[in-house]
Amino acid sequence: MHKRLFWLITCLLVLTMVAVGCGGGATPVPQQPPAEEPKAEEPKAEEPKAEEPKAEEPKAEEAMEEKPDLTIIWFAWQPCEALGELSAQYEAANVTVNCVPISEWYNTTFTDFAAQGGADLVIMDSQWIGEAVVGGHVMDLTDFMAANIEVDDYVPAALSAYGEYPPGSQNYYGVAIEGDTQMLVYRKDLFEEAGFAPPQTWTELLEQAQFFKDSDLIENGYTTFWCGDVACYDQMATVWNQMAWSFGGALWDPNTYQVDGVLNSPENLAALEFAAELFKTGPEGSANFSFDQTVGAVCSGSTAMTTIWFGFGAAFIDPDGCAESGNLAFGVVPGEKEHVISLGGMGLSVSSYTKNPDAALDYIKWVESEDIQLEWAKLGGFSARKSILASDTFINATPYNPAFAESYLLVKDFWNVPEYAALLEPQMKYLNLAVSGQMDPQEALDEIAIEQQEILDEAYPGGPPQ
Amino acid sequence: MVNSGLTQNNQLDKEHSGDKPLRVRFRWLTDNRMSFLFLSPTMLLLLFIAIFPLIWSLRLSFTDWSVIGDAGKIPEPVGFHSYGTALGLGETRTEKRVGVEVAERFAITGQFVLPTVIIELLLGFGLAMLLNRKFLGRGLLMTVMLIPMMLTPVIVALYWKYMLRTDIGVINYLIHDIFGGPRIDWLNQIKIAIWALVLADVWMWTPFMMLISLAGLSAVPKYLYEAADVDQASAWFKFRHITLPMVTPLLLIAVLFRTMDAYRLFDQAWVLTGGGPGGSTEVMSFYLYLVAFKDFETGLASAIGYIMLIVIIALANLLIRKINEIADEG
Repeated sequence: MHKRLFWLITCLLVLTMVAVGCGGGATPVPQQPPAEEPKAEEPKAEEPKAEEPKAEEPKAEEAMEEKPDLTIIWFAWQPCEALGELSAQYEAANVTVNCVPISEWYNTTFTDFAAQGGADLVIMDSQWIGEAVVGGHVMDLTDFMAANIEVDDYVPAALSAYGEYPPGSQNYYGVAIEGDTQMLVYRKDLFEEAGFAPPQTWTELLEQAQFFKDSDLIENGYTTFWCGDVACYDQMATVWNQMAWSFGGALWDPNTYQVDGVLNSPENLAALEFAAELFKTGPEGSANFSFDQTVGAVCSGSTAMTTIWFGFGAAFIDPDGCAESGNLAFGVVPGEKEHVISLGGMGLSVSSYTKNPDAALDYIKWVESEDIQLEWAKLGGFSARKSILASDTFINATPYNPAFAESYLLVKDFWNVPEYAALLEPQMKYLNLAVSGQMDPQEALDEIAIEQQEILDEAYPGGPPQ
Repeated sequence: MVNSGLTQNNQLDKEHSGDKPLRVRFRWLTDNRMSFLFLSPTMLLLLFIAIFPLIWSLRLSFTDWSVIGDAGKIPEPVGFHSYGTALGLGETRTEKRVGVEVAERFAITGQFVLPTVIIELLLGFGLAMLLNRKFLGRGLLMTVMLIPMMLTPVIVALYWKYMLRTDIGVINYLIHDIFGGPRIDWLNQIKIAIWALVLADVWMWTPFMMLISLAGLSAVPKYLYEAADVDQASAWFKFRHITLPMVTPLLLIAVLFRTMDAYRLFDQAWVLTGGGPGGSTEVMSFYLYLVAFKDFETGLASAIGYIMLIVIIALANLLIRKINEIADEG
C-alpha cells in the first residue's frame, strides 16, 4: 500500500509538472498605448498614442529596478549582426535582435503576428507593409514620426517604401532602418587591362561581359542572384525589375491594378531578352545562384562583374573571405532608357502586440537619431537620412558608400499590396525559366501577367481600394 | 510466507494510519486505477502533442480559415469546399489553379518516388547479395556503406548541391573532364532536376534497403541450398525458387517503409533544388508547406494533408495486403 501511495504521489507530481510546463507564461497583457487592435479596414481608427511615448512615465525607482526587454526580428545577414552590436549601446532597454534565416523571415514575422506575441519591433521587407497594416499587426507611427523623427531629412522614396500605406496616403507604419539598393561590383584590374570604364548602360555592361566571357582574362563576364526558387524569396524579381524599369517598362498600373498588357509589354520583353543574353556570360549552371554563390563567383576570381545589394558589400572587402578583394571596385548599377535601381532595405515597425510600446517607440527615436545613424554607418549600416548620406563619416566608412549615396537617389520599389507573396510566385518562376533559356520570354511574361491579373482581380473585384 | 507478508502489511498499515488503516483509505486505488494513473501522463502528452492537433487539423480542413488572415477568429465550417478545391472542383480561377497544381504535384511526387524506390531496391538487394558471404573486411565495408543513412538529410542535400554544380561540381568534373561528356545542369533543368533528388535519395537510402535485404538473406535456412546443391540446381534456380521467395516479404516491408518515407520528402527538395526550376521538384510535402506556411491557407493545407494521408494509407494497405498474401502462401 505504501508503494501505491508513493507511486500515486509521483504521478500527481508529474501531472502537476506537466500542467505547469504546458501552462506557458503569464496571460498576455493588453498593450498599453494600443488599447485595442487597429481594425483591418480602418488602421487608424483606434490609434495608439504613439506620439506620446512617455505619457505615463514610470517612477524613477521603478525605472531603476529593471529595464524593459525588447526583441527585434530580422533576417540573418551582416546588417542584422551590426544592429545587435549597435543596440548593445542602448541603455534604456535590453534589446535582442533575432536574426532568422531569410527563408523563414516572413513566416516568423507573420506567425508572431498571428500569435499576437513574439517580437516587439519587426523589420519587414517594404512589400509586406500592406499586409501588415491591413491585418492590424503594426502600430500607426504617423503622429509619432511627426513629433519625434526628422522626416524631411529622409530620402522620399525610402520614407514612402518602408512605411507608407496605402501608397501616397502619408500614413506611416514604419521608418527606414536599413536603406539598401544594388551596386555594381567589378574587377578594376581587368577593366584597366581591357581599357573599359564602368558601364553607363546595361547594353554597355552586356558588351563588356561578353568580352570577358570570350577572353582569356577571366572565365565569366557577369553573374547575379538569378535564383527563382521559392527558397530564394524575391531574388530573381529584384534582379529583373530594375532592368525592366530602365528599359522603360512597368510591372503594373498601380492606379488601375492592371497587369495584363502592362507587364507583357514590348519594353519588358526587350528587358527579359536582354537578361537572358546577360545570363549567358555567367558561370554554367548559375540559374539557381543566390547571394552566397554570387559573392563567391566574384571573390573566387571566376567572374568579372556582378550587381548585388549594398548590404553584402562587407563580403567583398574582407581579404580573408574574398581572394579578389584588392582588385574590386564599386559603382552605380547602369541604366538604359531610364536609370532606375531596385530598392532594397527595410523599415522598422512596432508590433501591435508588444507589451512595451513606449519602450519600442523610445528605441526607434534613439536609433533614428543623427548620432546613432552615424554610428550605424560606421558599423556598415545604410541610413536613409540625406544628412547622413552626405556626411564624410558615411562617405568614408566603406569603399562602396560613395556609390550608395549616388544610387539611393535612383531607387524604385514594387507592389506592397497584401497579395505581394502570391504575385511574386509566378514572377520568380517564369522569369527564371526565361532567363535560363527554358521558356520563351514572351510566353513567360504572358503567363506572369495572366496569373497576377487573376490574383488581383479576385482580391479586388470592385477595382483598386480607394 | 504469504500470510506472514500480509500480517506485516497490516501492522504497517496500523502504524502509519490515523483513524483508518491505509488499506481502507486507499481502497479505491485498485490495480486498474493505478495502471491508469501510471499511463495518464504519457496519454495526456500524446493527447496534446499528437491527437489534439490531428483532430484540430481535421476540423480546420472543413474550413477556409487562415492562421494569419483570420487570426483570432473562430474557424467557420465550409463543408468539403477545401477538399473540392484540392481535387480540382473549385469554382474560381484561383481554386481551379490549385486543383491543377495539386494534380501536378502528385505526378511530380510519383516521378520521384517510383524510380527512387525501384533503384534503391535493386541496388540495395544487389549489394546485400554481394555482402552475404564471409570475406576479409566485410564488417568494415558494411559500416562504411551504412554511413549515408546515418547523416542528416539536409547535410546530404548540401553535399549533393555542391557535387552537382555545373561549374565546380565533382560529378560534372567526372562526366566532363574525365570522361569527356557534356556538363549537365542537374539543378536548373526542368527535366533533369528531379533526377538530382532521386540521385541524392538513392545515395542516402540504398544502405537501408541493403540492410533489410541482408537480414532477409541471412534468415534463409542453409539446408535449402544444400538440398538444391544435392539436386544439382543452378544458381539462377536457387535464386528464383529459394532466395527470392524467402526474402520477398522482408523486401516488401522495406519497400513499404521507403515508399512512405520518399512520399513525404521535403528537406532534400528544399535544400537541393528549392522546388525549382519552375516548380518541377515541388513534391507534395513541399507544396503542402507552401500552402500552409507561405500562403497561410490553413484550411486548404489541412485538406491537402488529409488527402495525402488517405493516398499513402491506400498505398500502404496495398503493399501490406501483398505481404500478407505472400506470408499466407508461405
